[in-house]
Amino acid sequence: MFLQEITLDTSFYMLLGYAVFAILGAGYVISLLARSRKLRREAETIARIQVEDSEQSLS
Amino acid sequence: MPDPTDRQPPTAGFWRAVSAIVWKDLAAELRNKEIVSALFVFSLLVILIFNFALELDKAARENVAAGVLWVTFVFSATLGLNRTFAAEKDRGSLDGLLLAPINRSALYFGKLLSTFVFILIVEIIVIPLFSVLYNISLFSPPLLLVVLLGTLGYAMVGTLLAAMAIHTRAREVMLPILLFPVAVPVVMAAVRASAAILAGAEWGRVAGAFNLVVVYDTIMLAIAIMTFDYLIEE
Amino acid sequence: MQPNRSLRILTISASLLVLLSLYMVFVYAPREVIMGAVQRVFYYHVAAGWVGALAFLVTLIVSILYLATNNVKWDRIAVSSVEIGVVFTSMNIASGSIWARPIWNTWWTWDPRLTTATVMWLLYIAYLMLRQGLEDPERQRRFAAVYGILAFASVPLTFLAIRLWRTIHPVVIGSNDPGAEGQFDMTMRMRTAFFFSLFTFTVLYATLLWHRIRLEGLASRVAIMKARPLHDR
Repeated sequence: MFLQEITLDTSFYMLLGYAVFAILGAGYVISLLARSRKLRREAETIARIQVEDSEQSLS
Repeated sequence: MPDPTDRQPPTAGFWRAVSAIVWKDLAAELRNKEIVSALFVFSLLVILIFNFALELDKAARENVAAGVLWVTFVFSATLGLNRTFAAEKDRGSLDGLLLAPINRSALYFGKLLSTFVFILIVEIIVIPLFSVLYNISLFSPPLLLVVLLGTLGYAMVGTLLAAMAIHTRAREVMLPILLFPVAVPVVMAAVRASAAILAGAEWGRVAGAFNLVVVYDTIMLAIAIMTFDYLIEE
Repeated sequence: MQPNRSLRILTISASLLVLLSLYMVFVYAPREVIMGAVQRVFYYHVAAGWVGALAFLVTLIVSILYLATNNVKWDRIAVSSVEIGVVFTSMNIASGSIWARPIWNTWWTWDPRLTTATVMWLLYIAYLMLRQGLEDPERQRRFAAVYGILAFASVPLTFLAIRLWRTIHPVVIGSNDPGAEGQFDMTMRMRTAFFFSLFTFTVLYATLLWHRIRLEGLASRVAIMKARPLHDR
């Protein structure tokens, strides 16, 4: 083989690459959680309004 | 999924419906000639813009000729496709067409053919002009065949997608967004084949690209026939 | 609730697999001689590309099923799969670019696989934009299904077209060694890490898909709740 067995130091790019995986992956998971929370809150709010409404119409 | 063989075989009624749609569109166009003239002017502008944007010497011009030609065709074909269903939708005559007792595929073929004819007319005018401006003869039968088949493939997919885009809010922009990525294979293959022909390559080198255009056309036509119904049901 | 429990198990398994695969990639697999550390990106890069393609295939299948049966559940899977596919294809493209930079001294190569991945990404985005641009939900589902089929069909053709183009325009590579084309000999350990990453990502895809489908179901229920008229006062 060549005398220069010094392998390229490409660790920076390796870290950059894995940062991409981490950021995109985590970002998506967070977005799923956020959307889920928002929808649940909406569902609660609507349910509450409908309960209040039906109570009002009964009273 | 509805079995394609359930569809009526092309009866006289089917082709009559198709030609009715084609003649309707052609007649409308002949009356005011807006589409073809607009597309022609647009193509000319694209060619000129390329000329100024890329300062080309003779050798470079020969290299990019195929690419510039196809970009011109693609842009103007896209404009033409935008108009395919636009008039129908705006005037409300789309419902009228749907109520007519014709096979849905007839609507697809009719629209495809009329749009294809418009684009073809523009291409027929552009090709000689391009030959003059770029000093390259485009009058070779293989090249013209590639242009024909490539344009057809683009129009096939474009007609299908135009039927979708017409219902979206950003109609004119939506069609290119949907169409360009899907049309990548046929445009690339057509450019490759055109460039090879212009460079005087023997058929063996052109064949691969040419075959890909044919395969693309076939597959996309099949898909269009099978799925167009789903775009039109109300 | 049964589905909740299975999903929880799946989620935990997926997380464990990810941790395990990270160990495989960074510790178990040896450092590659020619490219150095950045070669490790390869394991996740290919796995992400694989998931992108898988997600697209799933979208094709459920799109056809939706058109055939008109059952909304297929559409929920379709939109979920596309969204996840966008994420993983983005990972694939970005990591591919990052891998290219130190090896070939360029941020981009018109390599057939990377270019096809980019076109696939654009198709996905177009799919999502189409859905966003259509107001009527039923039409949205129908049109998206048709586009899903069309888009998938174009991908292999795109790959062929680019490969054709590339045989005429070979890429100019910086260095002359065989490692330049991104090829390197894989040792047994590397192979193990590679296949383990593929497996991990597949499980990850299934997990995220399930979560996303549930989210879609939740969104539908909320939309229905909103549409329901309030009681008369």
